[in-house]
Amino acid sequence: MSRPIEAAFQRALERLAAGESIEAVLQAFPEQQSELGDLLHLVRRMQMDLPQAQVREAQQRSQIRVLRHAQLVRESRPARTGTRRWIPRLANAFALMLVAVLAGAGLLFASAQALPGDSLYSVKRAAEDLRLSFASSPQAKLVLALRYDERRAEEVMELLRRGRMVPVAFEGLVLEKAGARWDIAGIPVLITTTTDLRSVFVEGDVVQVRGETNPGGWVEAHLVRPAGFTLLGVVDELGPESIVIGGQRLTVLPSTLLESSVAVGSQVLAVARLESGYAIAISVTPVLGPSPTPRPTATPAPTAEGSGSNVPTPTKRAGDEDESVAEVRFGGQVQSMTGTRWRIAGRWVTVTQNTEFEGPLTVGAEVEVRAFRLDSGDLVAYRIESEEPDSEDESGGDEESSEEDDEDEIEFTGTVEAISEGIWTISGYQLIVDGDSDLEGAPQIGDQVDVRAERRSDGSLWAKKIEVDD
Amino acid sequence: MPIESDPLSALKNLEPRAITQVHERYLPELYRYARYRLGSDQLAEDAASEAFLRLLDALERGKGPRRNVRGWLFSTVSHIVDDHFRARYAHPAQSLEEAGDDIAQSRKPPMDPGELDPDLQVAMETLTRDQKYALQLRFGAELNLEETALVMGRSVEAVKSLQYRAISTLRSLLQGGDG
Repeated sequence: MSRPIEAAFQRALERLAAGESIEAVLQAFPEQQSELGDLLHLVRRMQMDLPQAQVREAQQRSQIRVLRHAQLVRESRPARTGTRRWIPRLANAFALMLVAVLAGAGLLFASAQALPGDSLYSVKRAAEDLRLSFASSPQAKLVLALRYDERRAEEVMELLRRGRMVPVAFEGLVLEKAGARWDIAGIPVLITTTTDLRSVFVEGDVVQVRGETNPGGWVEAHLVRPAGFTLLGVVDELGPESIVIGGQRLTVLPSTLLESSVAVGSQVLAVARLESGYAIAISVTPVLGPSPTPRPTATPAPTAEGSGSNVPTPTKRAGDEDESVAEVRFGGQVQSMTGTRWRIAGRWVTVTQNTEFEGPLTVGAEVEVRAFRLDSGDLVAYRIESEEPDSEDESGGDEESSEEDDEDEIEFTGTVEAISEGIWTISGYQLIVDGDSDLEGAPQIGDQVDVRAERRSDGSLWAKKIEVDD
Repeated sequence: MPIESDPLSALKNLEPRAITQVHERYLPELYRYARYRLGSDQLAEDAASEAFLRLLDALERGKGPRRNVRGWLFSTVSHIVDDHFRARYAHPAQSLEEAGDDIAQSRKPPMDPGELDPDLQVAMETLTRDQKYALQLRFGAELNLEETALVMGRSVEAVKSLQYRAISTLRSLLQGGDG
């Protein structure tokens, strides 16, 4: 039983939601115009104008976080015998025998239980190094190396049980972060104001810790740095010993948690760790992807198309039939460096162990980025180069001197996602489109278009030309 | 929506596809809701993500929503935001450096700072909890009437009524304040 003004308000709200202006809506309610006008203007004041791109970025970051958490929960399901879960038992009997002979079986046996700080600990580590050098294959070597990493963590646990104070180093997953107390590979780690945190870590990151065991039952961390990375992308190749995701080759070991549904073309989330120069897949989990299209695998050579170092020129790869694959090149300022996700010139970029870095890279640095754009829209950097201000004297290279240092230009192919009042959204980019913008082929929402845009000094992008792709 | 049918069994198994599907469906509106109340991008992202983490944890423990996943998620993110404000005002000297400027920006009086202008913030505090929740869902999360009703566990008519009374109250208060 609603009053007329209440019913009118509801109808007016519906029209407002359909895109009508307040003035137009009020025309339809001449008798209640005054009161309704107040209410509708109040509604306008209450509405929040949040850019779609911002929501999408938040969603992408959150998705990785949530999927990582799900992985941790899943992995914690079976009863665990140790603290690490990605490492199977694999013994190389031959190497063991040889090591025993070379090192002296008695001494080796005695050292097996040695802990950091013990006199025989160096014997134990030397025996491990020897076994590594006798590994029958690179795969076996990796498995051994991982097993020794697991051993390091177990040693730390034992030191904590005994209440000893010894310098230690170990690697593992960040399982939980509760303020200054973190759980890394099942080991309580205290982060202090003097801890050198080489990145901003989240649960699920693979890290290396250096610190000292404390009688209180924790490791006081002196240094925490990344020892792995997370990769969201499409499976290009899948073999018994390796998997290629978004151009990144990861080694697959028997311990790798590789879900059976993963196939070429799957969109997956992979957690990888670095060991002996290899990127080892810890887990590969399929996720829902917008376009599970296989992509080529070749490691890209940066396209030399375009000119000066400040002129981004995203291009498709030569001979690439997959239109969703693109190389992107752009310049700008590093705004944040959070784990493997960096924000550069307003865009999120994933860095991996294959990303080449050149020059000092800190927040605030001006850099040039070369990256792949995944089907998901994610950018995976394969090179980030600091742009030194005094690099003018470098001449004779294959790059022409830039005459447009104060103006970035960007080219890319994308899909028109939204068109509204001078702002177009194309593949996640928000572009200013005005009377000076050159529109060819009457682009509409959903159209595939070629875009040429300029980045203005305030960071906004102005569309120079938008052309419908044939 | 296919999501509302029965995502729970797949979610309970922590199937990545099910998680991704539910996440893609609900994260944007949860984020908008949290952003509306917190006024901070980073905090909103944390709060919305945390709601999903708690959902997975709850399901793993055999708890969590039985039918209305969306309602459960909104209720959870709402509590997370409430807890944030409570903690902040209980420990005003607490270091919040991790969230940087966003948090500093949201360090405002003991009420939802969010997106609203100060007059509206003060006026909002006079509304009932349900009235405020209805407005936050409608204009923050951008839910329609039916979705709001589903989340609140109320009828559409009840939500309409809550919404109208809330806006009318705000109008009276603001006009009184102006005049």
